[in-house]
Amino acid sequence: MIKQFRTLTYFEWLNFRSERSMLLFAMLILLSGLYGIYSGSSLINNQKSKLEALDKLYQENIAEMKQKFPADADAGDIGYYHSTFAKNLPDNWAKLSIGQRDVAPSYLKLRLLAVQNQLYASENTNPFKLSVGSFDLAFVFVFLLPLFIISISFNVLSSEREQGTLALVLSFPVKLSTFLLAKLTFRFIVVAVIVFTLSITGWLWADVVIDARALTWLMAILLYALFWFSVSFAIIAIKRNSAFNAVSLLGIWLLLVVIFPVLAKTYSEVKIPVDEGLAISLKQRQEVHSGWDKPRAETMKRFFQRYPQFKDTTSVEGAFKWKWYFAFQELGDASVESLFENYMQKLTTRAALSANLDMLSPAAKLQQTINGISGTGFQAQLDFLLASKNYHERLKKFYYPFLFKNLPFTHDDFASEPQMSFRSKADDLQIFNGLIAMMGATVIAILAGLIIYKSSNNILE
Amino acid sequence: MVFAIIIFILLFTSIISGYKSYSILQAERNLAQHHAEEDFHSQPDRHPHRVAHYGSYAFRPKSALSFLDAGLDPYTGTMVYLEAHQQNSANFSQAQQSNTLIRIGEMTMAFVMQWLMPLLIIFLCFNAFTQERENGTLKLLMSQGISIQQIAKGKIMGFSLLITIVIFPAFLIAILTSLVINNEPWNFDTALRLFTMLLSYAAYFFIFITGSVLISSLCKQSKTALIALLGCWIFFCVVIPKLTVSLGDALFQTPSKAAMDAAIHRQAKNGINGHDDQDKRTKEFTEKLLKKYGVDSASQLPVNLGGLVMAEGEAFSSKLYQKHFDELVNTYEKQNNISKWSGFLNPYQSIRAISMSMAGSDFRHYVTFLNAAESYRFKLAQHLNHLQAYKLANKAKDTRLDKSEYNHYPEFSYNPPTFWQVLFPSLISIFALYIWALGIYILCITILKNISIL
Repeated sequence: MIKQFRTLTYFEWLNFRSERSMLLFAMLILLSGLYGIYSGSSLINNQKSKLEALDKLYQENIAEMKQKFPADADAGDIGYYHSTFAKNLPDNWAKLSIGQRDVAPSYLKLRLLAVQNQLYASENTNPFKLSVGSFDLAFVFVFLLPLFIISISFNVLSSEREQGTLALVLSFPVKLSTFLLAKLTFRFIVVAVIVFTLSITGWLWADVVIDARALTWLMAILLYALFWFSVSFAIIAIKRNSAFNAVSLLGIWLLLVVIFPVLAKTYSEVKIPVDEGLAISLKQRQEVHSGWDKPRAETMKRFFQRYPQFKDTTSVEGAFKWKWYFAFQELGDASVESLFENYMQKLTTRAALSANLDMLSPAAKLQQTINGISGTGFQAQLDFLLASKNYHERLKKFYYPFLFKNLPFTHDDFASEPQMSFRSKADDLQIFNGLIAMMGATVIAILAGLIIYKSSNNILE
Repeated sequence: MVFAIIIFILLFTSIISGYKSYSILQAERNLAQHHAEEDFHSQPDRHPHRVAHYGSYAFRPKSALSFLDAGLDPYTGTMVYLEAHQQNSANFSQAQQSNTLIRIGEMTMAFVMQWLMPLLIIFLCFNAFTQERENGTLKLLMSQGISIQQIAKGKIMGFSLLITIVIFPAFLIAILTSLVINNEPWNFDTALRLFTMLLSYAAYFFIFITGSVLISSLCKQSKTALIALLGCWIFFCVVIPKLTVSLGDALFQTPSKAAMDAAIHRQAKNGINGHDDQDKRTKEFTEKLLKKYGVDSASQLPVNLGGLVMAEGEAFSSKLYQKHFDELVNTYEKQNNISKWSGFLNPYQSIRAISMSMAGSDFRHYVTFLNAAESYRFKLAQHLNHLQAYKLANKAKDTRLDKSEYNHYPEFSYNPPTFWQVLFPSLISIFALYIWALGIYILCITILKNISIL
């Protein structure tokens, strides 16, 4: 039995070498994979060089401040005119799966002013490019790998029958199931070799840290490949002709890879509309600018409730004082705090809803898993948003003592300004959830295949 | 038949879901725009420059036909905050606010028509010849003196008719829905846009029908024809679009917003050529003003110097911004042109471009909106600067202007480009699509003339 299996696999290898179409498909997937690695890397490298250039802009801005305020400055002037950057540095893994990184900005320019007016700024982007999406290695695995698997396995039985060789094979003491299993196993090995080749090339090219993530990566993709082999098996088990198999498998691909995720996304957006973002902007502006019209003492009183440590500060009446200005900026942010929480909550709920609906699509789950590995998922985007907000808190902690204790801001103080660079970590929850969903789908597909195989007619009839 | 029903159901759901998300988004933006206007008009007495910083908002309205093809809308910002001195980015795009794992499209009619219809056509037509050949009926037909060309023409006609029957009701529903959306009486512009869409989709389907029939006639087995056609579909609809876009991105670099803003700031400060800095410009401007009014100090001027200086500065920096922004848009257009021209290789890219430009959701419509927002911002800022200049001469810095002076300022409104304005840039794509349709038909007829089909 084992020997038979080995012989059959060996003959498949001979067959593979002589059959041009299968080789051609293998070459195509390899080439697209290589292009995916190149194009994903170039996108992330581009982001990296833009992020590096920010340091120069930051230094230029400080030089300008020093020129503008040659002696000790009022920290309020610095808070108003000086800007710093919250940077979302990509991990090299991001080169293999861009995820949300092209849609969400990779940095935020921040001043000491009300943060809620600064958190949602966008980067220069070409929406046409975004709408088509990036051609990264993840795309090759999620979209094209199933098509490759389908194209090399849809006719393993039907073509033998259509050529009349199946009867010949079965006239030997070989069971149909062994024959089929050997053929599919051989093809799985081919796919595994391609996956290994592309992944390792990708890791080396992208210069990633090869750790547990690499193992998870391979596991996820091979599991996904196994799922598609199981689906192919289920369709082959119906024992109809090649055209039927091709149409059905492509139909399933379309449903699982394209239609379900699109429907899930559309449904979650219609079901949970999020307009808090617009509301935050409007309300915050209203609150901040009304600061000019309200009695100064009242503003300061409300501010001291949040920062009692500064309540002994000198009076803000009379000529314009920056600390009063920053006090009502602070109150503007405070007024939308609950809206902001709602906003984040809703975004999370909406993402969770679409992730749950995506249970129907192993393709979406693979994408979720490798986005999780690369730290480029939606959660990473939200984490960066929160981290930027925290960074602004740190800036306030740094500047407020200068402002409210009337300390002069010297040129040396720039050196101790807090800095921030965020680097998202692998998202274990997303990875785990994605792997479980794919496993479930694979088990279901195998069981369905076995049931169909048992109940369908003899192949030669 | 099953496929026809599936497609019909998909078309129907896509129109409904397109309409649903259209109305949600449109309602959000209308409400927000309304609030923003109300807030602006109910300001207390303020110094004009305070009002300029209070600023205004531009929310991008969804175009009436975008429910048929959302195009780039999910990836474009919906809200621009318009304030003095600075040009803010358009924020809160849908894509930034949802977890998009599979970026292939929205559930709109365009998605079904551009992406799924070709597949239906392939499934319908792949065995047009091969099956007849396998069953031996082809010989029978030929023996009755019908030429292979005639058979092919007949098949193309038949399939075209079938597709028309499937598509027609859906289009009718689409037209009816667009009637509901346009509160104003249905205008000629929308009709022309819909009509162009219809004609383009017709050509698009015709290409796939003819191509499928052709391939089917060239292949010995149904299986081979099917695989070849599916390969074409994957290549055209999945691989090439991504390839061309990533190529454009790699070829033409754009600056980050931070770098662009810094460059504008630098040039505004030092002058465009670096010799004409802001202080010098202000000094020259002041001297000119003093001369004009024949006085020797700013306090004797019958106008508010600060307001006029700010107006000068705003004009200078806005011009700079516009220059940089136009360059940026120019680079994006270069990137996108690769996709546009590859329409000659790939009909999918032509139809996509035509469809979203007719639906009012393409790049050009977005840029028009951004420019309209910037021009509104500039005019509002200058209006307020002039109020300060002429109404607050020799007044203290914290003087407030009576609110009636500014609270009737007209609200932001935006006129999307007309049909004729968008038709011209789409002509290349339309031309490419029709070249394809004509070319593949001629190819099909010529090849079948010289072929022995049996």
